[in-house]
Amino acid sequence: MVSPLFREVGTQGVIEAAAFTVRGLTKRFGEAVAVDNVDLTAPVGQFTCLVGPSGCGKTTLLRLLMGLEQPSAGVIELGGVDVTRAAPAKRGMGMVFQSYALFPNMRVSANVAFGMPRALASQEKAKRTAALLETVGLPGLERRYPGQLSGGQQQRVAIARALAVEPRILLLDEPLAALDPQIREQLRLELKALQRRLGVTTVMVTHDQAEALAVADLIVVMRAGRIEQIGSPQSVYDAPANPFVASFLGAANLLGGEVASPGEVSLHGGQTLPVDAKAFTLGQTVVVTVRPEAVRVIGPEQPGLTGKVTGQVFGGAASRVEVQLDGPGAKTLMVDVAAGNPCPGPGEAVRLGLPIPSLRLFPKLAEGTA
Amino acid sequence: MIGGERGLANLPLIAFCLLLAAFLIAPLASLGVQAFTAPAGQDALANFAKYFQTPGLMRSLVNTAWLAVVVAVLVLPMAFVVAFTLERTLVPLKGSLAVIASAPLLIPSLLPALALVYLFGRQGLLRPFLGGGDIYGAQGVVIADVIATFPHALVILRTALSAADGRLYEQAEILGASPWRTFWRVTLPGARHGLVSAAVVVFALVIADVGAPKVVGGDFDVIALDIYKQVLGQQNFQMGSVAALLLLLPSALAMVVERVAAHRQAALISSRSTAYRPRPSARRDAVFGGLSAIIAFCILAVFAVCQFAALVKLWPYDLTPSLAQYDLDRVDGGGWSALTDSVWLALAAASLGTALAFIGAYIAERTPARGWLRQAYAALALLPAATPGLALGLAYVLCFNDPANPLHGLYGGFGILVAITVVHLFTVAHLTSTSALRALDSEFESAGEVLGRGRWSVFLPVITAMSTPTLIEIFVYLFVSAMTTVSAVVFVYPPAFKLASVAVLNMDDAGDIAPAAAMGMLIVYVNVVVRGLGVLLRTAAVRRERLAYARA
Repeated sequence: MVSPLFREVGTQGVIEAAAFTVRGLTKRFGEAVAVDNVDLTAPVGQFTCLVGPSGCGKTTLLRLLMGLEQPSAGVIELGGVDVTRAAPAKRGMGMVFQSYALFPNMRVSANVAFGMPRALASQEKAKRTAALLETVGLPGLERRYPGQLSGGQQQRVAIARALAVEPRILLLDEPLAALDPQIREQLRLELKALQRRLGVTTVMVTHDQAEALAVADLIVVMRAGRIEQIGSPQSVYDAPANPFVASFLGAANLLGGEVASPGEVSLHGGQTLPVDAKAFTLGQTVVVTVRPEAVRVIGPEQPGLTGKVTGQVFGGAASRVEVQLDGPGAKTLMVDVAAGNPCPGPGEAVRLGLPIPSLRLFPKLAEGTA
Repeated sequence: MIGGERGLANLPLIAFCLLLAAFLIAPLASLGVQAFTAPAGQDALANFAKYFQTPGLMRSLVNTAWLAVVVAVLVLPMAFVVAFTLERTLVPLKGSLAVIASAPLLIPSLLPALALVYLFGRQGLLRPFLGGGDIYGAQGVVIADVIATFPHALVILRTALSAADGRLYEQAEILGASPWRTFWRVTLPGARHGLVSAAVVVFALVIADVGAPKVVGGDFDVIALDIYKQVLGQQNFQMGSVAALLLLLPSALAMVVERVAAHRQAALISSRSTAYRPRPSARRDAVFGGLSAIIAFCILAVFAVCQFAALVKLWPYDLTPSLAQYDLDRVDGGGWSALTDSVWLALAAASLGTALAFIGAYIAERTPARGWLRQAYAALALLPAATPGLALGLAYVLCFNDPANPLHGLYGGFGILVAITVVHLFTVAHLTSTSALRALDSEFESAGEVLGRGRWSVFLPVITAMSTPTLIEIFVYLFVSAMTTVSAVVFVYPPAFKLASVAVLNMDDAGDIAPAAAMGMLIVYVNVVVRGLGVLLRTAAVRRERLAYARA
C-alpha cells in the first residue's frame, strides 16, 4: 500500500506502509519485568492503540519497537523482516515523543529537515519540508521557532519531523498528553483524520481510555507488562475479556456474588440477579460487570434490584446516580440516567433493571486480578 | 552482543574516571603514602606523632580552627544582608551593588591583605586610629579573609533567597504576621540550608588560604602556612604531607555537608511555588540599603587603596602620581612576562576545563552508562572541591616528580600547571554543567537516534548550542580563578614560568609591596575585561535564546 503522503511529497522511492509483528517480546530491568512475553500484530495502514494504566509497560513496548531499548527476549518483524537487532534509524519507523523533543534552538524548517538524508540538496529539503508542513496543516511556518508555536502546533511539527524520514510505521508516545483538555479532543480527531489520509501504519501509546476508544482501529489493553485484550474499540468495550478491561475502558460496576442457579446470581447483600450463568457451576463465586448506561430505573411493579439513592452528579447528556443496594454489605451501583428521563433524587428508594444481555460474568479469581 | 554494546556504552565514562584517577586520585595517594612513610624503625604514625608534639604546629591547628569559625561568623551576616538587599528589597542601584559585592572574586586573595598593610601597616595611613595597635596578626587575617570569602557566601545566599515561595509570604500576610515575625518564621527557615552551605564553604576557603596569613599574619601561624613553610622553606615533605592531610579531612567533611545542604535547599522549591515579589517598604529598604552601602564601600576601598598605592611614587611619603610601580621588570618576581604567562595558563585551563567538564557531565548525565559508574564519576568530580589547593599542589609534586610515574614527563612544564589548575577548579565547572544539562529535554538524544543521525548528532547543534550561556559562564569562572589562584600552583610552577598571582606573593615577601599591588591590580584589570566580555557574550546568547523560546 503506497502512502499518499509520499505521492504528495513526490519522493523518488515508493515507500510502503508495512505491518509489524512481535512475538514473545520480553524486557526485564533487573528483577522487574516491564514487558512480559508479548505477541502482537499491527495491521497495515491501521491505527493501533496501546492503552493501559501507568507502569503497564506500554511505553517500554513502544521504545522496544523503535529500537531505543533492547529486548531481553523475542522477535520484532517489520513487513516480514526481522529488525529485532537493527539500529533505530534502520527500522523505517518514525516516532513522536511525549515531550515532542523538538530542538528549541532550531527553526521549524531545520527541525523537520533534521532526519532527511544529508546528501539531499537544500532546495529539495525545503520543498519536502513545505510539503510536510502542508500535510500536517501548518503551511508557511518554516521560519518559526518551536517556542513560538502553540502546543498543538508543536505536536504537528513533531509529526512532520517524524514523517520526514519516510517511515513505514509511525509511533506516537502519548502525543496528546501535554495539551490542554479543550484542544485535546479536537486534535484527537485531526490526528485520526491525518492517519487515515496518509494510510501509514500507526501505533500510539496512551493512558487515556477515551482517547484510545476515539482514534483506534485496534485497541491493545495492557496491564503489568501483559496484553489483556486485543480488538476493535466496539468489541473491547462491549465484550471485555475480564473485569479489569471492563473497568479500565469506560465505567463499569463490578458486583460480587455466587451462582445460585443456571439463571441467577445471589449478590453480596442478599438480592438475586437474573443472569445467564449456564457456563458456571452452582455455588461458584463470580463477578458480574454492567455499564452504568445499561442500568435502567424501573417502576415498582417490575422485578429488579432495590436500593436507595445516595448521590447524584449532573452531567449534561446523562446524569450519574449512585445507588446503595439494599442488604447488609451490598455494593453501590453507578447508574446513568439519560437527559429527559426522570432522575431520582438523593434519599429516594429506587428499583433498578439490569438487562441480561448487558451483564457479563467472570469467575472470581485470586485477589488483585478482579 | 547486548553485553558488548553495554560495555561499549561505558567506555567514555570509564575514560573520564581514569583521567580523574590519574590527575587526582594518584596524587592524593602519593600524599597519603608520604605522610605515612616513617623513618626506618618507627611505626607508620610516627610522622603524625611528631607533628602533634611540635608545639608550633599544634598551635597552627588551633589557630586555623579559630580563624575559620570567626571568619564564618562574621561573613555570614554581612553576606546575608547584601543578599537580602539584592533579592528582597526595592533599593535602587541593585545592579551596581551586585557587581561591587562580587568583585572580590576577580582579585587574588592577597590583594585585600595588601590593602590592609597600606591602611594599617607600619606606615599605614590610618595607623593612628589603631591606637598603638597593629594590623599584623589574627585580626588582619580575619579582615582579609572576610573580604576574600564574602562573594562566595553571597552567591550561595542569593540563590537561597531568590528561590522563595511567594505563597508562604501571602499566607503569612493573610494570617496577620508582622514583617519581623515573617522574617524569623519564613525567610530565615527558608534560607537555612543556604546558610549552612555558605558557612561550610567559607570554612573550607579559610582553612585552605595561604595568602592572607602570609601577608598580614605576623606570627599568627595556620596549617596552610605550615605546609607552605615546611615544603618551600625546609623541604620537609613528610611534615608537609601530614599537615596537608590534616587540612584535607575537615575540607572533605565540609564538602559533604555542603552538598547535602545544597540538595535540601533546592528541594524546598516545588514546581508549584510562585515567585516572591517584594512590596515597597521604606524602612526595610533604608536599613538594608544603608548596611549594604557600608559593605560595598569597604570593598571599593580595598580596590581604591591598592590602585592608589600602585599609582604613587612612594607610599606614604611621596604621593605624586606615577606609573613607576608598573615597571615590573625592575623587581624580582617575574615582571610583565608573569602576567602574559598567567593569561596563557588561564586561557588554556579555561578552554580545556570547560570542554572536559561539559563533555564529562554530558556523558554521565545523558548517555547510557551503568549507574555505579555514574556515581563513581560524580564522587570523583566532587573531590577537587574537598581538596585544598596547597594539598593538591604538594600531592602533584610528590606524584609527578616521581620518575616511576608514566606521566613524569609533564613535570616542570606548562602541562602540569594546566592540569592542576583544571583539576583544582573542576567541581564548580562540573556542577554547573550538570545542572544545565539536566534542564534540557531528556528525549533529544532519542530523537536524534530515531531521525537516523545517531545519539551524538544532537550534541553540537542542540545540546552545546543551547548550553552556550552556561559554557561562557564556566569559561569565565575558570579563567578568573586561574588568574588569581596561588595555592594550587605555588609548588608546581616551573622556574622558567612565572605566574602573576605567585609574583604578588613573592614581591610582597621581598618587601616590594607597591609593585605587588601593581601586579595584583593588573590581574584585576585582565579579569574585569574577561568578565565584562563574558557578560556581554552571555547576555547576547541568552537574548537569542529568549527570542527563540518566547511564545509568539
